[in-house]
Amino acid sequence: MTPTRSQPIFLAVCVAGLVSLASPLGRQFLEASLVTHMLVQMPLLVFIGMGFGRISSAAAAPYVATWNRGGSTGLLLTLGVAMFWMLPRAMDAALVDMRFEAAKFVSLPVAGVALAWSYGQASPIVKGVLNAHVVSALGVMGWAYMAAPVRLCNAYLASDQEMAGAGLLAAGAVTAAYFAMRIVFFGATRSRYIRTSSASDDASIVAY
Amino acid sequence: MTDIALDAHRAPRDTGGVPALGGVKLTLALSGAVIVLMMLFGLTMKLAQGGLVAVEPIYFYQVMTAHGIGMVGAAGLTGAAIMWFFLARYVALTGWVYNAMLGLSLAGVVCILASIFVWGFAGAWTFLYPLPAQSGGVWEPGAAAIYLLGLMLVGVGFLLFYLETGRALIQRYGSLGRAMGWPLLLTGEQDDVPPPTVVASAVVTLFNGLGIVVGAAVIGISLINLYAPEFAIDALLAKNMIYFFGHVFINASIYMAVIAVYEIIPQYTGRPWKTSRVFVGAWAATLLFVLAVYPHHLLQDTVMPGWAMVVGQVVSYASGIPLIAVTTFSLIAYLHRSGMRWDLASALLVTGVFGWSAGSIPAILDSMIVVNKVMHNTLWVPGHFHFYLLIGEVAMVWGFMAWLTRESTGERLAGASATSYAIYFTGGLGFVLLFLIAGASSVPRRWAVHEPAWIGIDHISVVFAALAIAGFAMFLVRFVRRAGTAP
Amino acid sequence: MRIRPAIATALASTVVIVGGFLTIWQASDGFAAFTTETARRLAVERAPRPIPAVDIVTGTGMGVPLLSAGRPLLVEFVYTSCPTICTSLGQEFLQIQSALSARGLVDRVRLVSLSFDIERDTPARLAEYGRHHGADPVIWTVGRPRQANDLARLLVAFGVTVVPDGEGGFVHNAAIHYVGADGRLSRIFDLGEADSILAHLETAAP
Repeated sequence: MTPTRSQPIFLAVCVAGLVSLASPLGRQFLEASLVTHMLVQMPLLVFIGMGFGRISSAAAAPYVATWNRGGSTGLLLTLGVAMFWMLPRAMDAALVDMRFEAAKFVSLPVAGVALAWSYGQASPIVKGVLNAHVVSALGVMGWAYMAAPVRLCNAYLASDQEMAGAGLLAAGAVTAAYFAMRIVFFGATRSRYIRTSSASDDASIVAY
Repeated sequence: MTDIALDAHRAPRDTGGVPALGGVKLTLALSGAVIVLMMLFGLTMKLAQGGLVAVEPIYFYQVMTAHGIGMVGAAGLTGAAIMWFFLARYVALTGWVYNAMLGLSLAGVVCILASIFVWGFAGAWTFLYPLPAQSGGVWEPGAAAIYLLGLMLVGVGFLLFYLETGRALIQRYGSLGRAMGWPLLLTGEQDDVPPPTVVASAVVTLFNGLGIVVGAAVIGISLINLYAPEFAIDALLAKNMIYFFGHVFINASIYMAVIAVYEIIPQYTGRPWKTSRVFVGAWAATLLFVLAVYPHHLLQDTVMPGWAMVVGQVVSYASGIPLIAVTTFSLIAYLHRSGMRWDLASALLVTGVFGWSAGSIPAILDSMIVVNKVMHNTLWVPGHFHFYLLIGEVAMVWGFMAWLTRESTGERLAGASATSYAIYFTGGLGFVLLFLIAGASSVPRRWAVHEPAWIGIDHISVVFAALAIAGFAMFLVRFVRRAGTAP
Repeated sequence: MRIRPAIATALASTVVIVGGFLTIWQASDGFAAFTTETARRLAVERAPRPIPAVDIVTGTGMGVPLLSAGRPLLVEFVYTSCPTICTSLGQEFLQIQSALSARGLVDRVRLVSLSFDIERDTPARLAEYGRHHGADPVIWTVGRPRQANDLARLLVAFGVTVVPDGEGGFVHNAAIHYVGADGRLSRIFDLGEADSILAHLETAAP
């Protein structure tokens, strides 16, 4: 993101979002049900991280470009964090163990930052694989939550679990439709690739 | 490449070299060999059903599984090779992606063959739930898992392939919508109209990309279920997903192969294949129909919602019309009084369009619910897809191979090439017609052992099948010899 | 520092992959337990947990010790107004009780149906639950902790989570817990595993 006047406002919105999510009231409200915990709170934490990442990516580029060529390190970090929080017992633990809860509020925004710093650097093929993976993983996860014969999280009701599964399936369908629409009508991948590939070349020159 | 030089009126971009041309040729040679091997498997099944060779049912179903997935894979790979070769004339493709696709596919083939012939997986290529997980002790879950893993590898390979073609198309045309020619369709804009190859490639990239993502999801689900059976699969959902993916994938192979017709036939007729509004509209309709047509596979599943059945029947009825009709009628118009030189390549490409169109007629009949009720589990259905794969897809691929190895340059349809073509066409057509006759006589499909009353048809089928195999194999040997030296 | 980006990135990516793999390996007990329930079962098998020696109130209103020296326990958590899973648990216990009587193994083990609904489950209701499910008091005790403090300690020790279902009932991990003669929780069985439980009793009990 190029520095603009709106940037401080954007930053303030992200900070306010993070603070309200982390506040006892915000946590109590969103963590009461599996649906809001998994499908609202956790994605919001990642999105807020992405917001911080967008603001800081230009400033960070000289320091991280060497270690994050093609965005691979950052994307792997994002995937790793996402996989960890997909473990049902990790979500259970966040409810009863403050260390896990704190780790969640740190790691998910960090994953968002890493994503924002890296996605634009990735080659279109890597982006495509990532997008396709996200869609099919949402589908498989949604099915798994709906098909599970037992409660996956001890802290949540079975009906919650089914709703969360349906929510994941819906998220997968929306994501797939979004990507399909984008390539059919806008071809956003193209313009962004050209812009950021030159940016990353500059960055690696700086790093040398 | 002299063929291209002949073709000065099109060649919008100098094909100084198709990226990964070696990979394309290797694909054709390997897929050709796979097709011959799978044809021999098919022959084995006919011999077994005819009681001429004793094959234990357990091995019959292994052979059937291998035959199905082998042919689907070979059709997909050869179609991809054709699309890649011609798309490279218009957009800048990156060679390593093709080779990665080929490598992943071959790794997948190794897994699939091992799962079948080493570990005994025999759940048919469609791996319909609950067969992979509940084999009744015939194979272990591990065998099914390796089969699914193999499919996943092939799927990842094809995903890379379509991501690359999609990237290149978007880079050149701005968006897939423009590459599909939609501005021409919607506003009549004549500026930068994509050639037929680009339109076809863009449509296939989009629908097969979606198909593969759904396929990956159902494979993921099936894998979890294998090791955690308490995660029950909704059999109907799994069937929907598998047939969506499978139907889209096999259709894509033909839609990619037909690009060879668009590119090569104009060289013979001297009339360029134009992107018209009707052409773009037909491909746009195809995009929709290919995605929506699969429910005709589920017409016998009475638990499916009624509207889905209606969609299945209506779309099946309609889907043949736009593309096949447009391609067939255009082809006839282009050929009419063109004084075209008939040689192996041109004869095969025209045969391919014939096989594709004619093979869709029994398909459309089968998609009528009243017919489907009595015909779907007979040999009628394999009859229709053998028709458009054996006389359609294989003929187009073979025509492309013949053109690529310059059998076309001046070589009339005579001698060895005429012989191989004639016995393949006679054998192939006889073979698929017998499938349809057997289906119309209510001979069931997928039976390892046939009743005495059906065996007569099997015996004649064996003869025709052997002819078709001999014709294709004769050509393949000559292709492999020439492929190394051709440009 | 002059380090080639390709190498630096390969290094950093490898660190992330290895670190992520190890973290998830650690957090899932070596890919063996993805849910809290599986983890709990694995944990007690690897390291049996001591169960606090508290008194429980039974249907007669009298307090008895939960643990009895030298005699293993099978414990299930219930609440008497439960319409669903606790009924199945009760039937499972009845089946085990009959099998034990038939094999003359009555002195080998005690069955305990432990209610966590200490506000509503009065001794009268506990007695009614026992009668309804055919509990033989010699072998099968129906009771509840005397006070909230004891209940909390028990739930933590057993690793049982109780969630109100919003309709006046509760949702909880349904399982049958084996507490050895040494007073330690060492195995957790699923509903429907009566045969395995009986086999375990025959081999494990002295």
